[in-house]
Amino acid sequence: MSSSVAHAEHHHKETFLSKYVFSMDHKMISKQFLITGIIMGVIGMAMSIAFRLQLAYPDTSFPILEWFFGSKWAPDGKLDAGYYMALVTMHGTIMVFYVLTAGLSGTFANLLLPLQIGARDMASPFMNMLSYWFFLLSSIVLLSSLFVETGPASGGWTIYPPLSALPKAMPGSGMGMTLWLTAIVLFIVSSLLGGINYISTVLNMRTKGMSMTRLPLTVWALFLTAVLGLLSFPVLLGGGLLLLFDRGFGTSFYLSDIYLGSAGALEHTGGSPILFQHLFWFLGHPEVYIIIMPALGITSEIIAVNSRKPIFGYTAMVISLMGIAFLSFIVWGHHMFITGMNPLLGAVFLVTTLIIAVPSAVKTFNYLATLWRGNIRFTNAMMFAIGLVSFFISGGLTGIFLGNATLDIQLHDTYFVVGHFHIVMGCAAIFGMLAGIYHWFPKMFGRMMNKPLGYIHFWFTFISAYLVFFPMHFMGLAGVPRRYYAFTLLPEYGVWFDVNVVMTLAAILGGIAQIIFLYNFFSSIFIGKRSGTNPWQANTLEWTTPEERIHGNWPGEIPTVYRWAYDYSNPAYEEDFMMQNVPDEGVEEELFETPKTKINKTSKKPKTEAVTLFTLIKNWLKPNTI
Amino acid sequence: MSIIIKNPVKLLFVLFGLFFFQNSQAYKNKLTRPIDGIEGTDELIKQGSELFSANCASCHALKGKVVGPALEGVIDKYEEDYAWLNAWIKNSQKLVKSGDERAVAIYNEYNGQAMNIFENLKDEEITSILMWIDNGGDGDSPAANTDESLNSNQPVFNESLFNNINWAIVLLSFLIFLIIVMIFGILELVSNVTGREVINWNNINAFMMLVFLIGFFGLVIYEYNIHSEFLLPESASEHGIEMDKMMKWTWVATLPVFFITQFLLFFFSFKYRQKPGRKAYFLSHNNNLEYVWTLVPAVVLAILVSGGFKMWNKILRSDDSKNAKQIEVFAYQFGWNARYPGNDGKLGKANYNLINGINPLGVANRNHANELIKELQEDIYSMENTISKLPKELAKLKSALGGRVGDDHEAHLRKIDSYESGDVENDLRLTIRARNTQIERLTGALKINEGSMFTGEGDDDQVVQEIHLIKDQPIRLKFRARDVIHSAYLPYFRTQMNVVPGLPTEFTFTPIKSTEEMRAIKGDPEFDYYLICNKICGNAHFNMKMKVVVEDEASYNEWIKQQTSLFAEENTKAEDSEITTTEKEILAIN
Repeated sequence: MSSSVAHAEHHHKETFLSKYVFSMDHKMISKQFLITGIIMGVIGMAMSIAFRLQLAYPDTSFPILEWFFGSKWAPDGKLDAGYYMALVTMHGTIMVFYVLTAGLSGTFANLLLPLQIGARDMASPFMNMLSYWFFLLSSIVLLSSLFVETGPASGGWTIYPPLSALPKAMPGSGMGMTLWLTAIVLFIVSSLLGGINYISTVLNMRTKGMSMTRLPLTVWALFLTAVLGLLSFPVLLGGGLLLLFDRGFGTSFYLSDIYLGSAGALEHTGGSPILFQHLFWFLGHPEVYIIIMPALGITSEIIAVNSRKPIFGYTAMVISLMGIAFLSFIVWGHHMFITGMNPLLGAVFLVTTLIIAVPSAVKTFNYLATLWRGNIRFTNAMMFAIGLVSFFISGGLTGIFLGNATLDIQLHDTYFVVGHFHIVMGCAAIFGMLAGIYHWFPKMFGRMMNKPLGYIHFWFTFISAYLVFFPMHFMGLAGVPRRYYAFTLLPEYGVWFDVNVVMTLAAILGGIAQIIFLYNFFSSIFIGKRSGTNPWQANTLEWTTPEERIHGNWPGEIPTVYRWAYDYSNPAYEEDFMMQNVPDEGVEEELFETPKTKINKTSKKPKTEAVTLFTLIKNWLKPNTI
Repeated sequence: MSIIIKNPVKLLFVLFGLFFFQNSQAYKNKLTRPIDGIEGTDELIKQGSELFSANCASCHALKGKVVGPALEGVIDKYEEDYAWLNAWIKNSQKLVKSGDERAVAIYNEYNGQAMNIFENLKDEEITSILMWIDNGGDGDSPAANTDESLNSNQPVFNESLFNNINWAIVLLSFLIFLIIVMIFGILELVSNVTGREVINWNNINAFMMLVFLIGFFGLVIYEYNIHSEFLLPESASEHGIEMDKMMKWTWVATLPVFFITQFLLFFFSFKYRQKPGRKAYFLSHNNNLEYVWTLVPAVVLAILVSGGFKMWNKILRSDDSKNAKQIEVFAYQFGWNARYPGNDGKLGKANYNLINGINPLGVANRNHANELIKELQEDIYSMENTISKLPKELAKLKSALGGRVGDDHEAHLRKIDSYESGDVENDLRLTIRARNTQIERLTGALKINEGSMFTGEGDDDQVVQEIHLIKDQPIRLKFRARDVIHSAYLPYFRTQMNVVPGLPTEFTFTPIKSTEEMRAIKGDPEFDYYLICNKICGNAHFNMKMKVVVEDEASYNEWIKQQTSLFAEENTKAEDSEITTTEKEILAIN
């Protein structure tokens, strides 16, 4: 085909720069996202250990902190109260945006979308490259704020004005906040460039036979994630720009009736701080699903592959993903039940919030049904996928408490919230990401990761994560507020003293476990066992590409797809898997001329789908023939 | 701490953690010198202690920086110059604006974070606070000496021995860890070379899943056993009782799901582990099953939603709130005030433009507004004066550059730069503009006759630093913030509401347990209710509280009688002359 010839032509011109740095190859870009994400993750985690030390040992001198942060931020080896806030803020920002949005979606959307739908690259490789470079630039700007005189942004990752709008309200709202906003603007640009690309790739570049109903669930999840990002990130962009105006140009979008101890009565009048919160959470809540949906998609794929069973209820899985994606736009107010928002609105958000638990529950039950009577192989990826499901259950259930406005009056901004979102969104999404790394490492580097080390990594991380975050629910139920530098305000907080010690030590244990992972990851790139083309005996198209990972993905024709992605252990076949590109006798010619029912009759595979809603979608989005 | 001893696992953790600890110092107990010429007495120190925790503790501790510097040793530093220290405490901004070198240096060192104004404190009161500081605190205020209160919970060990053992443990565990990693690495290499697995990882991990399941459930139940005694006791407010019931029912709905699904997850993982020769059961979907597990959660959630919806409306949108007594709760960086309506039962109007040292809540009063306008005009004159002196100041700075080295030199250069670039002047001019706007707004407000905020209703309002509530009487808290968003959190009353500048919020509840009753329930004679801040509001966010006392009507009346009205003595004066002289002047200017 002409496209493959064209690829062969510019193949030999690659230099080091064009291959590894300014690469437009989606696989290289995905590695760039991944490694940047891992670096940001290490920084974010180190920060969390630093402030957990403060929480567990509020009066102890840690010379290492002074050595690391300098005597300004950690005088006598004790974190400064303002810098504690700064670390909390930066930890949140880095983890939410830089690791779990860009690091997770960026890596796997780039790697998997073209490979799993059978495309040679993204719809726009250049935009794809730009997306990474904006992300990198954004990361550098954000990290540079650690070195400004007044310290990085420290008003919490939600940067509520007026605190974040007034440089005189706290040191972190000075230069650090400006850099934070700049970094986020760059980040949004990166995210939009990527998102548009992912959407157009999935809609336009599917190979012959790859209808929307045959897409692997990873692709569905990443596709819907991109849609969410595309619709919600611009709102934060707008909100952030207005905040910049309030900070720099004297406007009053969010400011009104303020008297500052250090500046007297301000001129601002007529603005509303609540407006910012609406704009922020209009992104902020979909953002939670932007984080978790790719992880759920990855888990669906990995659980099916390693249980050697089709994912249970493919249609239900896709519908619930769509349901989550839609509902995530109308629940943002549950972050604001008691912010002074009209109580009537609160009641509405209470209803929508609890509805979103239904599709989440369906997904969980479907995972369990997939495991049932499977033939489970505990690969490293499978362990993390199971861990994800466990976190998703634990954290999802506590969400029912927080989504209920009445109970939120008591639990809002306590450690219950910290425990909840770290388990359901933090740990679950990180586990999804790690599962994805272990599973697709062979596709990225052509080598396998060290399995025993992966097991150690899993068990240490899994246990320490529960040890850190589970006790937080109890603290929250006892009314201990989050974002406290030290628990000295009330004597009753003293009883949580040793619990905090346990949590901190568990966090350190978790940190050490990540060192194992880092060693495993980077050493396996060079000394891992060669993987072969399909090490997991999986069905999807990425495992049909050669081990060498060439530009353009397939040396010859792009394979044609003949079946859905989950024909595992189908009794019609001898093997326990049947790849998507393997034709059934006498079917390929009439694939698109014959109606769906006829295909089912001629193929040996039993009827697996009750396609009613999807027939509509399928007709609407006809697969692309290259 | 009893639980440490009860739980050997935790004891180990704590022991390990103790390796990081250092000795805490004991406090001095006696004053050795007079402060500002006055000899300290026990009463004065006690008064100082109370004033300190009400006014200073949110930003200062004796040891260690909180937002402001540590105050231990402040007496040694300013022993020669109490007058300056007094002026600084009362109004540090004034000193900074007057160009006082020491004041400017401190202001810059703390990145332009100004100390709050304390013009309401009398000289003797400030002296008593200083006495308390020089005394080294009183040893039982948690805010003042964090070291003591936390470290006293710790058993004492022989430090050097303990340290050595710990180092050995750390080293040993690191070695063991390395060995494990190496063994696993070798095993993997062997299996790579021979092409078959040395260890059946699949069975091991499947078994581990089962072990984890048992351990996980065990720990959850164990933790519940220990921690449930730390949880909040029964609610001290009426709506809280029902809220607790709803909480209980939500547990009833979710806990079984938690245990069943987690069990199935790990049990399936174990049971259906890969075995040679077995093939998985091909099952792609089952509509009936899926309907069931869509509908059942939907129904359960619908029940929870309707309960939550009803109660939410009952708590936040009830009509009772209009009949309740109301008080205002005022939040600022970093503390709380409350305002009681006084004899007329009405809270006077307030405006942020009226806030100053003697009127921290900005309650509207004609005389005060006129005084404030004068004060602001003086401010403007002094700032304009400073601007005119800037070139001279710059020349002085430049001449003082010689002989400085290192960081000092750099800092001085930066200072010169801020003068040369016009930043200093710009800042001053912006402040002048803001003051002018403020004066304009105030004069405008003073001129209005109909709907004026200067109704005189606020004159008898009482501004206090702790809330007193009457048991079994509904109370409507109206929240107002001075600077940034705070959140008023009263965990025992199951009450929380954000306090937002420019947006009045409120919460109505009925306390049903007096402080005494709650003390009995908790078995803690020292216990008090507190209103705490629960929305990140700056560096001292963790240190913002106000005492709440619930008592019977008699003791409440006793207490409220003792509180002074804000503008009591001026009350009559204000009514006499409708327009004062300052006002006339301003009207003439405009």
